Amino acid sequence: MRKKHLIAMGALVLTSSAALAGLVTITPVSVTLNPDASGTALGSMSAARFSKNEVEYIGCGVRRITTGTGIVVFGFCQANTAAGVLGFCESEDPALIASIGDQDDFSFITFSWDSAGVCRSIGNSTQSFYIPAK
Amino acid sequence: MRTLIILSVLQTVGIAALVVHAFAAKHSIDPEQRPLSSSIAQPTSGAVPHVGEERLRAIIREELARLQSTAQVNASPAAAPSPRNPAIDADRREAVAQQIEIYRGVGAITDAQMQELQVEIAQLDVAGRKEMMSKLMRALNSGEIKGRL
Repeated sequence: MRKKHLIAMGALVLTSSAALAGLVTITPVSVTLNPDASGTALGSMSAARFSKNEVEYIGCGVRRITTGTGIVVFGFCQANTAAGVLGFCESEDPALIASIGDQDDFSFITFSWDSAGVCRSIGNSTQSFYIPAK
Repeated sequence: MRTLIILSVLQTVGIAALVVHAFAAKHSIDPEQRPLSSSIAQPTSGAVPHVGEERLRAIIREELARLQSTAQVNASPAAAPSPRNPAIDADRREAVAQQIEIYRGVGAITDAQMQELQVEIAQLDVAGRKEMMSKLMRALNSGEIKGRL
């Protein structure tokens, strides 16, 4: 009877080890503000979403607005650190706007902006290690 | 069993009657009443009872060309961008600038207000849009206006 219990416990331990397999990287949101009002922001969507605080976020989006002269399309990115440091940028550059469409739920996002708040870069990396552990 | 046979015979007779009726109707339709749309089906010379395939194709092409040109004429006013009025653009830019100043004074902007502001900014000319977007971004980045895009 005791032997059976030991075997069952061993199996349980091995199974739970298998469930934890795979690299997990938690990258909290970070925002750097420069004296000339330019800046950079980075962080993974999952780290922000599942952080222990209620302020952290990062992401990008696209707005399409009809006007009298056509449709204005602009992309934007925004981030907020756990400490409440904010970073925003916007862009009407089609290539940068297109890159926003490549982002996914588990993307690691980076963006930077110039002193006017115009996005200079928008990047993303979608990796298995950004998916939070169960 | 007998009832089934009777029903089966009646059904067969009925189908046969329908087929005969349909066949007769098909051949009795006057060429002028064939189910073609009025603008396409009308032959140019009313005296010709049967329209040849080539002639039909030509008529369809003509009608399509006519419809296409009509559609273009109708679409033109809506598609053409209205010319910008510098005075109106300046007024709009001023209004947006004031709006941003108000939010800066309040220190916050709600999601709905942000949405509204972005729509207003989008109506500006390119230069005005850049200027006002920049004003908004700098206010957000400096924390003078708390809100989200």
